[in-house]
Amino acid sequence: MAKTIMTVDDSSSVRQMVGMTLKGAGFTVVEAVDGADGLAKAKASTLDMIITDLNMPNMDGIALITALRTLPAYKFTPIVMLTTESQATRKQEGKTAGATGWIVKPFKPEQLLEVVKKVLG
Amino acid sequence: MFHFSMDTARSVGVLSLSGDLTIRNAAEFKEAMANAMDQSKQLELNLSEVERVDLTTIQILCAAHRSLLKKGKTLSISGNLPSALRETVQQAGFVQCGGEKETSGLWKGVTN
Amino acid sequence: MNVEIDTSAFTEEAYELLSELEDSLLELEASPQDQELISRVFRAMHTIKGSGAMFGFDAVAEFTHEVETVFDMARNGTIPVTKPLIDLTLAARDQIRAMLDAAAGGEPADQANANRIIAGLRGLSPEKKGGGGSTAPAAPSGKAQAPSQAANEPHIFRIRFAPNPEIFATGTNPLLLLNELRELGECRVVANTEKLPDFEELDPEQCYTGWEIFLTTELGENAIHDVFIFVEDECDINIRLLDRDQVMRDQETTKKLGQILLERGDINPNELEKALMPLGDRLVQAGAVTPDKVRAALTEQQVIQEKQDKKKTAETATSVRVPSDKLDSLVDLVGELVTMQARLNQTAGTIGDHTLQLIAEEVERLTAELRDNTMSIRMLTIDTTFNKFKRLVRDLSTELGKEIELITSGGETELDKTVIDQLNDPLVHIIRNSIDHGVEAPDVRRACGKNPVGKITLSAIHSGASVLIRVTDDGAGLDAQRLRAKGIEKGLLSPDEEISEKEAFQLIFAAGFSTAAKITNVSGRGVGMDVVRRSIEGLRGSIDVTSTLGKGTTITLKLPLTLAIIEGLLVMVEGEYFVLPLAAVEECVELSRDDVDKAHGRHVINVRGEIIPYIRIRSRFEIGGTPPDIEQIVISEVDEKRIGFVVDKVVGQHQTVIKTLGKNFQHSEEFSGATILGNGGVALILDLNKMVRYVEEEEIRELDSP
Repeated sequence: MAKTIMTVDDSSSVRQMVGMTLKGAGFTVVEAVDGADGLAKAKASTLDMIITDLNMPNMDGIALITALRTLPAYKFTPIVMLTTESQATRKQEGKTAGATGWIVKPFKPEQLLEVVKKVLG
Repeated sequence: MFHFSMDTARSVGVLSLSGDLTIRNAAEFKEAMANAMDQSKQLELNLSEVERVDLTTIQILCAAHRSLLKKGKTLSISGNLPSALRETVQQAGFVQCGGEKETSGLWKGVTN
Repeated sequence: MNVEIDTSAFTEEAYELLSELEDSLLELEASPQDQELISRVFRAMHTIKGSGAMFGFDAVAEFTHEVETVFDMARNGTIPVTKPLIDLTLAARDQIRAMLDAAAGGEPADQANANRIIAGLRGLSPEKKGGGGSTAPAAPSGKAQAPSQAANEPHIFRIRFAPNPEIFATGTNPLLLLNELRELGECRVVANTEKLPDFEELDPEQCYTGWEIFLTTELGENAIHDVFIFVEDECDINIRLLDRDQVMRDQETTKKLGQILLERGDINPNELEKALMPLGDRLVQAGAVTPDKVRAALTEQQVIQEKQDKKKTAETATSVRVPSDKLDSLVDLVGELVTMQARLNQTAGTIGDHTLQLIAEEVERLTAELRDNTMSIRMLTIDTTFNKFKRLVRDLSTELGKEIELITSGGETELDKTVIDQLNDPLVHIIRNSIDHGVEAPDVRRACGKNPVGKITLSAIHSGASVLIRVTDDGAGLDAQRLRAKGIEKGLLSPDEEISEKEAFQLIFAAGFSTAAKITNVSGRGVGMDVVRRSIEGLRGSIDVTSTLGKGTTITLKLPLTLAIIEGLLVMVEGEYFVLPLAAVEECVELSRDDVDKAHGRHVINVRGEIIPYIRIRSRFEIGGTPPDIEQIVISEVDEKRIGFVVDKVVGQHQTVIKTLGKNFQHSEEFSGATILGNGGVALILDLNKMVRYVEEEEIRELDSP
C-alpha cells in the first residue's frame, strides 16, 4: 500500500515540487498551506510522514510539530522540517519540538527522496 | 489482536498475537504479555498472524524471555516466525541474542 | 531520478509575492515596529530564495539571500527598521522583478544596480565583513557532500551506536539507520542489550538497545557520519578505524603462554584444556564482561580475519607477470590450432570412423576452452586507461581556465589488450575536443544557468560482443546550423543541400573539418576527428555522435571485445567462402525469383511487413556465374539499420581466426581480414559497416552524375 506523506508549506511552488517528486516516487501526497491547515489535515487522515516548512503564517512549523507530537497517532511519526542555512537555532528548536530530521533549502528532488528513505525506510 | 488461552492438556499458556505489533501499541502488547506471563509456567507465543513489528517488539520479547528464565519458567514460539519478525530480528542484530547463558535461543532458525 | 519541473509555477508565485512585498514594505514604513509585517517581508524573501534555487534561478536566489539576511536581523531586533532599509529593500524588490523578467526573455537585469543594493544592505549590518564573503546558498545536508576521503582500500570501521532512550519520540527508527549502514558496505550488526531492564521496569516506548557495527567499506568516515546526521547530537556514536595488528598480537601471546607452561611441565594438558576454554566464557564466568560484549568482540575478530584472508588470496592471485609478446604468440598458436581443428573435424567426417569422430569432438571442446582461456588472459580492464585521463582533464582544463570534473564508470570492463593499447590516442583526442570545444568557460556556463564546473563522463559498458565507450560532456553541444555552414564553406556540401541533424553531426568526422573559431594548442586544427574515426575503424569498431544544443555531446565508440578470433557466419557464393561477423547477424531468409520480380528491380525485400534493402555479394565483388533459383539473405544490423546480404548458401557458424590482409587487394577496405577454413581454403571476412557505407556513397555519386 502506498504510504502517505503530507507537505506543509505556504509556498505553492515548494508544495508542487515536493508533491511531484513524492508522487513520482510512488507516494500518496497530502498538501497543506500552513501549520493550522496541516494540523487539521493530519487529524483527518492517516499520514506516514510529514514534511513541513518552518516559516509559515497562522501556525509555524515548530508549533505544528509540537502539536502533532501530542496526538497519539503522530507521537512516533517521522516529521522532517525544511530549513535554511540561516536557521541553525530554528533547527535546534525543531529538534526539541520532536522533528526527526531536516532538509536544507534549496534542495534537489533526489535529496528529498534520500531523506524520505532515511526516515521512512 | 491479543488472545490468551490455557492449553490445559499440556498446561501451557498460549498467547496468540496478530496484526501490527509496533511502537504504536507497544504498551498494550507489554500489558498482554505481563498478564500471560503471570498466568503460565510455560508460555507459548503464536506469532504467525503478526504483520508489522519493530525494535520495541523485540525488546519486549527479549525482556520477557529473560524475566521468565529467571523465574524458572519458559517462553517459546510456536509455529513459524512471520517473515516481518524474522527480518527485524536480523536487521536489529538480535540473531544470537538470548541474554545470560541460555541455550534455548528465542529466535530459532533465524540466521545472519 | 530526474524530475522535470515546470518553472512557471515559481515565476507566477514570485511575481505574486513581489507585489505583496511592495504593499508590506509600504505599510512597514508607516509602522516600523510591526513584527508581523517584518515577518511577512522575511517570509516572502525566504520563499523566493528557497524556491528560486530549487527551480534553477540561482542568481535570483543569491541576490535574495542578501536581503533575507538583513531582514532576519531586523526580525531578531539586531537592527532597526529604518528608511534606508526600506528604500533598499524596495529597490531590491524591483531588482528581483527585473531578474525574473530577464529570465523570461526580457531585458537583462542591471548587475551594477544589484551590486549597489547588496553593498548598501551589507552596510546596514552591524558586523560588516568588508565586502562580505561568499553568500551562495549553503550546500544541502545529507549525502550531497560526497565523502571526500574515499579510499580504494576497504577499511573496517567499528561503530558503536547507543541511541538516546527517547529516540522513538522524534519519529526516528534506528533500524533504518542500520539498514543505511548496510548499504555502505559489508556490515555485521551486533545488538547490545545490557541496558534492557527487567520486564517489569521496561518502558515499551523507550529504546534500550545499542549496537556495535562492523562495517567493511571503501568509503570514508564522513559517509558514516552522514547516516547519523539527524541523530548525532542526541546519541552516543563512536566510530573507530580498527587496527588489526594490535588485535592479532594480543591473541598470539595468550596462546603461546599456554604452550610454554606445558613444555616446562608446569601444568598438565588437562589443566591447560580447562584454562583454554574460550577466553570469552572465562571472562563471562568471572563476571568481568557480559555475553553481549563478548559477542561483539568475537564478531570484530571474525570480520578482521575475513578481511585478512581475502587480502591474502588477492595477493597470491595477482603475481604472474608475462611479457606481452609471449601472449601474442600464444594467441597465434591457438589460432593455428583452431584452424587445424576445423580440418580435423572435416577429415574425421569424411573418413567416417566413429572413434576418430569422438576424438575430433573432444579435441573441439578442448580447443574451444583453450581459446576462451587464452582470450581471457589477454583481456585487461580499462580502468588504467581511464585513470590516465584524470590528469589530462585536470591539466588541460587549468590551461584553458575551465573547471571540469571527470567522472568515470565501468572501469572494470575488460577489453582485448590490443584494443586497449590502440584506444588511447583516439580517446585523448575526443576528450581534448570535449574540454576545448565542448565545455564552456565558467562565466559562460554561469550565464546559461549551468553549474560553472563542467562535467565530462567517461564510461565503458558491455553490449553483446562489443564494448561501448562513451565520452559525454555537459557543454555547449553541437550546432547543426553552424556545422552545415562550415561544411558548405569547406566545400563538403553544396549550398542548397539540405541535411538532417544527424548528418550534420557526421560532418565532424570529415577530413579537414574544424568548428572552433579559435585554434588552440589543446585540441587539433581540424585534423582530429577524421583520424579518430579511422583508428576506431581500424579496430573494427564504429563511432557515433549525439548532441543537444546547449546541453552537451556524447561520442560513443563501439569496439569488438577481441581482434583475434570471432564467431562468424560462413556463407558461400559461387564456390567462394565469406564470413560475416555473427554478432551483427539477425536472421537468414530465402530470396526467391518471385521476390526479386515483385520488387521491380529495386534491391529490397519485404520481411514480415518490413522493407529491407539488400546488397548482392555476387555483384558487389563481380563474382559472375548464375545465382541459384533460391538465394539466401543474411539480415544484419549495420549502423542501427537492418540490411540484407545476398549469398548462394549459408554454411553455418564458424570459429573465425582473423588473419590480416595486405592492402593490395581491390575492395580490400571492405574486408576486415581473412580466415583459413577446415578444408584448407580461405574465406574473406566482410566488414559490413564499411561495405554499406561504400555502397551508399557510390549510389549517391551515381545519382549526382546522370
